[in-house]
Amino acid sequence: MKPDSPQGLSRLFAEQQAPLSRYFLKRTAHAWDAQDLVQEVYARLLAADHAAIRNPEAYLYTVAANLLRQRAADRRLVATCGDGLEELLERMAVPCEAASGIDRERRRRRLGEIIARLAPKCRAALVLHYRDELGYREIGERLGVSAHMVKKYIVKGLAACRQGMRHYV
Amino acid sequence: MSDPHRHRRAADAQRRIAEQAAAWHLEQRDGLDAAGHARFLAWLRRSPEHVAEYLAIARLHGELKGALAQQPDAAALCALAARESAVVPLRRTAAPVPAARPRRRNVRRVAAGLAGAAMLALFALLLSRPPAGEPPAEIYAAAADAGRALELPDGSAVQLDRGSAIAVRFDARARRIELLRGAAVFDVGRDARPLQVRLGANLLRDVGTVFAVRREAGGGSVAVLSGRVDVLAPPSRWSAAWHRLAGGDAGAAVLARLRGGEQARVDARGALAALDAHADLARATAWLPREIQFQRSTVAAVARRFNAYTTQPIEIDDPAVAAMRISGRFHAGDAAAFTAYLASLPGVHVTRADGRVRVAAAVRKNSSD
Repeated sequence: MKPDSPQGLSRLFAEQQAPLSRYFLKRTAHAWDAQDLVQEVYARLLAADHAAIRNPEAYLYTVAANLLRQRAADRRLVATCGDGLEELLERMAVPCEAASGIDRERRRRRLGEIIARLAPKCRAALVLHYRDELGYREIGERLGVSAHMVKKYIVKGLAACRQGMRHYV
Repeated sequence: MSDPHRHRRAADAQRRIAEQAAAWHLEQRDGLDAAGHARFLAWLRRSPEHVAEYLAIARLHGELKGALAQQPDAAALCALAARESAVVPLRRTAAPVPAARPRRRNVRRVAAGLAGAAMLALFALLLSRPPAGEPPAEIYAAAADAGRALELPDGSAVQLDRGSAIAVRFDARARRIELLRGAAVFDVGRDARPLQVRLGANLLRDVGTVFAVRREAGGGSVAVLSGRVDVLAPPSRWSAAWHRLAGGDAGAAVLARLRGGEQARVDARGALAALDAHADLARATAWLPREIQFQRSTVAAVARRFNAYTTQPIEIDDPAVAAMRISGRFHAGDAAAFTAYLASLPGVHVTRADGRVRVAAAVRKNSSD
């Protein structure tokens, strides 16, 4: 499987959630860069053939990854491209690697504070789902609410985290 | 800014989009069927804010595990939750989980609606008519004997040469500017909506940039001071129709990717006539005033005027510093003198890195968050 071809990459992304998360974790680029990226991703999303996009999320990440790679290549930080996904992700993260260690720690702490302030049920649902990897039903039973409600709590919690991190690069 | 209601509404809208993005992210993990993917794609395409928000949630998801590690254990959390009052803390205006909405609707009605929408799209494409929703253009022109500096609603700063004019069209999806005549320097504001500048037959796609554009009888030229600009080939009739339909720049071929210090010339038909890796930027912007004078202007506004002259842009990172009002008079080519002046102001810290000059608030203790 060659990650250079769009299909190859999008399949890789669809199959491998964990490296993907790590990739976003690493890419603690400046807000300026992130906004550029969104502009370009959006332009391509509009231009792309509707029907050809089977998995929009994988498509989104693929386009973003290609843009980042292209940008890295433009900066001549990357001369050639290997064929391992890890290596590729590693390289994409290069331009912003230096600052990311500090940023990551800062963000992690801030995120912890936001979660600690969530309403108890909302917080419990979020922690049990993402840390303890319990399903909606299981969480619902422990909290005495429906699985549907658990989902709502998680959405609410995620959105609250996002709001709290909004101005936190 | 003085209107608290407007502020509140904007925050509510942001939260709504964040909740939709979170709901889609959850759906994605749970597994979407083909129809779900289609609805998700439609949601993404509705606005660049949706894309931005989804990417932000994805990034957050990657960080969650680390941040959750220190939360109390499951039993303690459940005990806390049990003590929470029975009143549901969710607001009534909570965003609906995306999957729930279409399911409630009559399938036949949805199908009819989709077919209708498809027909409409087809007609629009075939007739190549601009959609009725196209916003009218704002025209900005400079007098024949004086240049003009203006700020657009998105925060972009534009300087017009004498006798020059631009047409500006912003909507929810895109920012479009056409150089009608003469020359202009754009310092593009930070905004999620893509920005395009039409120069004769070509489209320029900007990516967070300061660049100078000139329109001439036989074509035109683009010189990039900092950032990046893509010069796109003139669109074919089909892609032009699509462009109007979708508001994107379609799949137009990129003729040149210009970075700081580079210049491109295009001819009247939109073909690339010349590419210069070491452009004479001073010549390209020779029409700009030689002096920058300002009276009680904000630091942000003055910095952007300097950015029209330099390949090392000044970026103000701190909103309080950006809003400070200053007065003075500097040689336009001497941005270094201006940054030295900024560094002398109390509470201001200037650093140079990566070809940029960053201006931030000096670090004080206990001022994080």
